[in-house]
Amino acid sequence: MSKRKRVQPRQLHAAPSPAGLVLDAQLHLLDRQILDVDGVPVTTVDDIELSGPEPNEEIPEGTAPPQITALLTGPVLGTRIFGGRPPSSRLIRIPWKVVAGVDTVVTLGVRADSMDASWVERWLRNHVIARIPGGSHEP
Amino acid sequence: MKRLLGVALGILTAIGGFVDIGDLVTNAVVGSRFGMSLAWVVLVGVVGICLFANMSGRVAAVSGRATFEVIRERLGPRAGLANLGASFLINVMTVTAEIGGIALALQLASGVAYILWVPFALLAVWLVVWRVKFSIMENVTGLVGLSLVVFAVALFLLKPDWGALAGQAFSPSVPAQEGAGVYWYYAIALFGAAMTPYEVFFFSSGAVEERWKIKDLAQSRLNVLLGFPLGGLLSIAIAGCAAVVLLPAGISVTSLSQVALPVAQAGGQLALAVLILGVVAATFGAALETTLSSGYTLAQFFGWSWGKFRRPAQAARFHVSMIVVLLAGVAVLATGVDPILVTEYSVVFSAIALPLTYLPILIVANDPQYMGKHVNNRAVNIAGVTYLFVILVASLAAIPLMIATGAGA
Amino acid sequence: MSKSPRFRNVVLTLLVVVAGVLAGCSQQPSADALKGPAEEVSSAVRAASLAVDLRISDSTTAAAASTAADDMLGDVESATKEVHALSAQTQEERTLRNDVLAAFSSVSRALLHARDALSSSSNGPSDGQGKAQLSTVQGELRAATEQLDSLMTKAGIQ
Repeated sequence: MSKRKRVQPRQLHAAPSPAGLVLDAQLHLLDRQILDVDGVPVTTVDDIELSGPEPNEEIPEGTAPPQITALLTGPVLGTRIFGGRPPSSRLIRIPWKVVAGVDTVVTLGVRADSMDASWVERWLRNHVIARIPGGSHEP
Repeated sequence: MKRLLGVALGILTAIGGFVDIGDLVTNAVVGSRFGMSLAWVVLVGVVGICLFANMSGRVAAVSGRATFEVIRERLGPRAGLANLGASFLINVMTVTAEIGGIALALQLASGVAYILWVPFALLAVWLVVWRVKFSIMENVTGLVGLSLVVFAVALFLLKPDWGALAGQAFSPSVPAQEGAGVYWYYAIALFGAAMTPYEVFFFSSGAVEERWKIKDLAQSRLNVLLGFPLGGLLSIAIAGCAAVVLLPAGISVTSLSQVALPVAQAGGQLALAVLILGVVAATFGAALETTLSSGYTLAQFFGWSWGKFRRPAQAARFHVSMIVVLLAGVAVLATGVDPILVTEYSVVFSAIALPLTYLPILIVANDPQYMGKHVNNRAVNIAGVTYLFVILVASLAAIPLMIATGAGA
Repeated sequence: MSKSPRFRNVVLTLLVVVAGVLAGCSQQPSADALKGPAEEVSSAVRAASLAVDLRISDSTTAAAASTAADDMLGDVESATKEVHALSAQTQEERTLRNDVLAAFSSVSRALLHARDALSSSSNGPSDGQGKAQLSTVQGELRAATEQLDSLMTKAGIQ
């Protein structure tokens, strides 16, 4: 990969001192398990989507700091392992506003079945598992 | 009383569950070719599996997380995926070997060619994975598998020269007709058979399935510390039977039917029947464990919902992946490849992949974020690091030895 | 980066060594190349012999014993294939190879008879005719074992 030319800001302000819980995205978010409101595993945090300037874009003074807009999952994992960038339309997003808590796992405030992130699970449930006798019995 | 019963049950199932087709075949092969001179490897392997099974059980009970979830969180996606690939491949190989083992045992019982039993074994394994409760599955296969004690009984009935056997075991040397390379190759195979990594995935996921809490740890430690060494003794008895009957007769084991010969000689048809029952139960139990383990590792890496405590519909990807694994195993067997050969390779590849499983467990068991005050103490860490070194040496030596000896030929 | 050429050199050297070792293995029917298959067959015929013994003393079932004979037959087949794959250069080697193959085929014949006798012995060895048949087969297996053993001793395989 060719090295991108960095845009140097004229003057660096010290980072604002954070209030409350400090999360390291790499350490506390990436690759963590995501559970839904009932504690059912949904997926893992395969990547994170940030708001704010695109790479190589000039950052004007006083721009709001980037924020996490969504947790990403699905094929985006491949790009973290092998490099590259998927088209934005192919990303499966879990909007940050449904995240209820971040601990050793990330918990959501909604049900798994209401989300795009669980479409494979639902598809296999409806087309494979539900057609095998006993698939919805209590174990 | 009920508690005592629970403890006894746990220990008995741990003994019965220790031996699988890998232990069975490798120990018999080694006994028939090297006598008891590799018994020390079983001891080393048993201590290792006790150490790491305990550690992964503790991680699961304290953090409520199974091994593979934590492997990805700690190692990142790249190393995690490499680890998943290797572990999954070995799991599929072991599933294949175990299903082949069930079929071979049924052939021994019926005289009908094993390949005809394969579809039946597949269906039975899947049905149990699909419908039977986790605890029932574990207890039944473990208890019935305990009938492999017949190997120990047979060894006594054969009235061997105990002094000579002990001599071989305690002052091991390479037998004259075998090369040193082959000796060490089988040492690694035996080590891989005793320390099978799927055992650890299964153990830690099982702890989550059965919702272990910290207070259950004492019980689990007892199961492991008594059950696995007794299971190891059983392995040594298998080697002993082969060493007493087959080695002097100039027979080296290449098939399950030969493993049965010493037992039949010692105890007649009754012992043979008990042996076949035990082999079916042990391989069946291990087929369940490996099938579940492949589902566990995949689901835990990708964050899918998993577990037998859920309805299959609530863990659709988990169940579909296990069906695929079972079908893949049967497809391999359908090519007519010798299941014993698959077994022999699976234990060596297990040995090669051992560091991938055991290093992350050691790392996580020291991570206070998951473990709080239950992190490893110093003694456990020293033992763990020592074992990791042994595991690493075995893993690195396996492939060169495999090439140099023509896979132990 | 200085590490990687050195690493490559080490790997290359290793590969060369392995290739050398592999090339050093003779593909001619010398005593060395015949050792593996001959030992395999010798082990197989002895195992079948033990199975027949156990069946005569009623210690094992017809199913288990005939399975053993069948498995051993498979081992002999693969050993025979292995020897067939060796190409003889000299007259001496050709004779040795043919002798070995002849011994293998008498073992194989004896094993076939053993398997048939064992699987038809389901009435139990109390059946006089079955017992006689098993003893005949046992004699055949022993003869084949002796033939192979004497050949192995003669050729210096062991």
